[in-house]
Amino acid sequence: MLYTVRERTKEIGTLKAIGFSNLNIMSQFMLEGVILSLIAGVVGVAIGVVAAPALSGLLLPAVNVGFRDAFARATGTVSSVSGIITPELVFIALGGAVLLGALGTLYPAWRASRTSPMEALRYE
Amino acid sequence: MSSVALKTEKLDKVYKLGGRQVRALSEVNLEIEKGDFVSIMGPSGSGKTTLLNVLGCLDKPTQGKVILDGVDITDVPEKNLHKTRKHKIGFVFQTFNLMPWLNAVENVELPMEGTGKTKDEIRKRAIELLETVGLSERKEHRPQKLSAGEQQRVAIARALANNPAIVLADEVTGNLDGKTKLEIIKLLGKLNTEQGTTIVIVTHDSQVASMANRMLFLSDGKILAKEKQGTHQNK
Repeated sequence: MLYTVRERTKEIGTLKAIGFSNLNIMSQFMLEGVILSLIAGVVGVAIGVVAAPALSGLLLPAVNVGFRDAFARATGTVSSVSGIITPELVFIALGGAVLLGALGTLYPAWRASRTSPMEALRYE
Repeated sequence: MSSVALKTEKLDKVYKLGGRQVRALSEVNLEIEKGDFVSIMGPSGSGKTTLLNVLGCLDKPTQGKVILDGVDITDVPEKNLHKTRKHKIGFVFQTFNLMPWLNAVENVELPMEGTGKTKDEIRKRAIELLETVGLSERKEHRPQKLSAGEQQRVAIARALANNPAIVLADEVTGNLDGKTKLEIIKLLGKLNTEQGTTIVIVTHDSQVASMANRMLFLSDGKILAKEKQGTHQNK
């Protein structure tokens, strides 16, 4: 994101010169950051859906599955070490991606909003 | 209602450059009437860009006043300046500075966002403006599909979007070939005559400058006393 802000310095300068406020610029970049991380999250989940069953077969051989089931029976919980993807898990993954994306965008977006239009316009 | 669009009083701008003081503007007194078409000429380093930045609320003067449409913009707090830029000033740049991912209409619509107009009103106005600058056939084209002259026309339409008190044009013909250059200046002249748009162009090109109504000369940060009449006639 920081790279993007530098890359788009001139554009930011132009937007400011034609009347965009710091808040406008900041929210524009925040929105982009959130959308970008949401897309990344969706891609990640999609890969997870495909890969999880395959990987869990590799990582959790039959022995462990037996142990897991015993553990689950003993504690009365569903073991989290499974290849099953629940709606909750998808939700947490997407939420996490967006949250981290938003956090990571805060500083670059703030930097963008503080750009001096005069210097930004001179930037090539 | 005063008939003065823009006035400066004893405008000074001093930069500190590596411990040395550089005086970019020195007691600049300007008065630009509403509906005038003025060119400011000067060699590079004469303070043209600094002057334009100060007039366009992009930079604060060290001293002096800038009265735009009756309001001293040097008194406007930084956080409100964007409103002045949006409603009172129309910028046209040497390098057009259009948003590459937006088509012509959308670029013209940009400054009208958040002005309280509806989407339909904004679209209608943008289309009218593109017709005014002679681009009604190229509305849906993105900047990279437009020629340099066409891009500058879009930029001019964008500058007019919010009916600004003044259009500030910074070396707008610097990236255009001879024929296109004249077309763009003629377009500015036409906007001035037909719509009464107040225009200030800053340039080092004497041919361009002479096509305005009034020619001012900037040298070493000072507006020279000699002033020339250009070929353009205001209504």
